[in-house]
Amino acid sequence: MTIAKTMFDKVWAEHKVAELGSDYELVHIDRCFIHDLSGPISLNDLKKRELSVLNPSLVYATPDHLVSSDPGNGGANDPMRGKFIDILRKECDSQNIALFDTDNIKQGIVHVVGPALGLSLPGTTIVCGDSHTCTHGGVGAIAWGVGNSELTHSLATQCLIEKRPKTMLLKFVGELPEQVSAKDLILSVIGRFGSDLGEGYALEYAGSPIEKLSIEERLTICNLTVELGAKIGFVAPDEKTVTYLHDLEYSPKGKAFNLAAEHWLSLRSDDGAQFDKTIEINVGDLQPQISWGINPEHTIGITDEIPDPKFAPNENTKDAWSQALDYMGLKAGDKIEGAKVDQVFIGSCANSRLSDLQSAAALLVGRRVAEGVEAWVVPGSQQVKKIAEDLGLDKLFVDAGFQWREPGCSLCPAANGDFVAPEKRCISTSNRNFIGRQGPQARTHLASPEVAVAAAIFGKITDPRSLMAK
Amino acid sequence: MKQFTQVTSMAAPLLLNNIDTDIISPMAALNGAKGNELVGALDKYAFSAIRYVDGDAEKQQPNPEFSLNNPVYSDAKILIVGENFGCGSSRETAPLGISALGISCIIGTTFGDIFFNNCFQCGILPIRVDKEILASIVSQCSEGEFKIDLDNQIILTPSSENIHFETNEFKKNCLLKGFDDIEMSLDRFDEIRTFQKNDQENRPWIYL
Repeated sequence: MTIAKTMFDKVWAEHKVAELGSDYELVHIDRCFIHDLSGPISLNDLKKRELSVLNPSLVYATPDHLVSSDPGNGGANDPMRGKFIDILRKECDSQNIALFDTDNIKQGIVHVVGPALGLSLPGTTIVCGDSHTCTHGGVGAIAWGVGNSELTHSLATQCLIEKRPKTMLLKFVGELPEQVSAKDLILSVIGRFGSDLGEGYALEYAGSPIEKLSIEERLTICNLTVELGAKIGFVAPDEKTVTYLHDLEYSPKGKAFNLAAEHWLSLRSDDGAQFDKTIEINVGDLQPQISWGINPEHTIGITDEIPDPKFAPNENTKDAWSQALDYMGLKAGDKIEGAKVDQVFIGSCANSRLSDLQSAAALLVGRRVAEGVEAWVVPGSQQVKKIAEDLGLDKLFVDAGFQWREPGCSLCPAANGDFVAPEKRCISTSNRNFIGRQGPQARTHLASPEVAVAAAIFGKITDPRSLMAK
Repeated sequence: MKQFTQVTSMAAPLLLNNIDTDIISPMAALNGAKGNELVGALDKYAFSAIRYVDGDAEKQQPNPEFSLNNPVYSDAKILIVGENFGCGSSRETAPLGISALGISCIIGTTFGDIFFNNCFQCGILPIRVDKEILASIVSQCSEGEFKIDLDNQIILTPSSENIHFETNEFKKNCLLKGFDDIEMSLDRFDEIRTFQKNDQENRPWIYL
C-alpha cells in the first residue's frame, strides 16, 4: 500500500534536486517572474556577479509596480521610476528574457498575467520578487515571494535553497451566501484567525465552497495567503482548472495538454493524507467584510461595530487596536457602516480581473459615484482592459463617474506615484491596509469590489447587499 | 555574505505587534535612490512611520516613543520585537534597512516567513523564542548589555541568565561561515543539469 500524500508533499518531492540537511533542500524553480521594482535590482546584481540567467525561457518579465496608471500614459510618472523600467528593458534584452512591455497586450500585474497566459500551471514552482506570488496557487501552482537575494539566486541557478514548510489544510464547509464574495471569505479567515496563522506552513484551501469558486475567485483567495502569514497557499487543480488552462497561450497543446492534465489531477492530496494542521471553517453565515484598522486581521463584518480596545484579549492587542483607531480616525463602538469615504480603488492583484470588474459594474448600472468621491478602476492587465472595453464596461464606469485607468499595481503599493492623500479614507480592493501603504497617513479599508462600489455610490461605507437584487 | 558569530550590545525593545515591512522600509526609500544605485538611503527611511513625528522622514523629528531614538538604545545591535514582525511585502530592503541601522540580531516570538528568510540572506540572525522568554528578556532590556552567541546558541542576559535558543543547523552554519546561497547552488550545477534532463522527460510542458 502506498502512503497517502498531500499535494504539497507530492509537488515538493517532484522538485527536489538535492538534500542539504536540517530540512533544507535544493528545490527546482519552474518559473521566475520579474517585475519592474525588484527585477532591475536582481538583474543588476547578476551583472555585478558576472552571472547570467540559466534558463531564460523559464523567466518572464512585465512592468507593473512603477508604470503610470494615468489614462493614455503607458510609461512612468517620473525619471526615477523610469530608470527602473529602463533597466528592466535593457537587462531583459541582454539576458534574453521575454518582456511584456507597456505596448504589449500581455503586460499587466504579474500575478494577473501569469495565470491568464497559462504560464502558471498546476504543480509548478514559481517565484517572484513579490510577496503576492502566492496568488498563482489559484491554478494549483506552488508559488511564493522572495527577496532580491533569492530572486538573483533563482535566475542564476533555476533553483533555491528552501526549508520544507509544514502543511496546513483549511477545510471550508457550508454554503457561501450568494451575496458574499471570495474576497469576503478570505478576509473573514484573516479577521478570525489572525495574520500569523500560517507562519511556517504551506496552506491548502479545500472543501465544497472552494470547489464551487471560479478560477479567478480562487486566485483572489490565494492572493491573501501572505496576509495569513504563510508564503504559499493553493487550491488543488480540478476539472475547472484544466478547462481554464486549455488553449491559453503558453499552456501545453494537443496531446501534451492531455498528458499534463492527467499529471496535474494526480497531484491532488490523497484521501487520508496527513496534514501537520487542519482547520475546519464554516462559511454559511458569512456577511460582506471590511477592514477597519492597520493590519488585514483588523477585519469585521460590514454590519459590525468597530472593536473597543477595552475588550481586547491582551495588552499587546489593546495597544495595537488603540494605535489603529487613532491612525484610522475611527471611534470604538461605532458602526463601521456610515464612515465617510473620500476615495475608492478597484484594482490590484487581489481584485482586478474581468470577473471583479463585472461584479462591480453590475452594481453600478443606473447609479452614480457620490459627489466628492474619487473613484478609480485600474484593470489588472492590458488583456483585462481590452476585454472589458469590448464589453462596454469602461463606458459604464466612466459614465457613472469612475476613472478608467491604465493597468498596473497603482494604488495598492503606491509605488508608481499614485497615492491617497493624508487622512483621506480609501475603500480599496487590494490586500494591505498597513500604515502609510497607500501614502503617508492614508486610511485604507480592504474590501471586495462590491463593497467598494457601494462605498463609491453612497460616499460612505455601505452594505452592498442593499444594492443587490434579491 | 557577512559572517555572524556573536554580538554584545544593548537590546532595544520594539514591541508593537505586526510591524510590517512597509513600516520597516517604506516605498519612499525609493526616492533616496541616486545615480545608478536603485536602493538608497535605507538608514534614513527605515521605520519612518513610527520613528519620526508624523512619519515624516524629511523633517526627521524623532518620535520619543521609538526606542532607537532613546540614547540608551541608540547604539543597540539587537532588536526585541513583537509578534509577527516583518509581515507583509517580500522587500529585502526591510532587513537591509534594519542592518543599515546597525542591528544584526532580532529576537521575537513570530516573524513573517519571507522576512525571516531574507534576514539570513543579509547576515542578520533572527531568533524565535517563547512568549515567557521574550517577556523575561524585555524586563531586562534597560539593565545592560546582552550577548548573543550563535555557535553555542545562547543569549546571555544582563542578569547573567543563560537562555538557550533553537536555530536551524543548516542556516546556523551558513551564518557562522558567511556562506552565500548562490555560490552553494552554483557548486551543484551538475546536479541541477541532471535534474532538468530527467525532469524534461517527466514534465516536458514545463520547459518552454
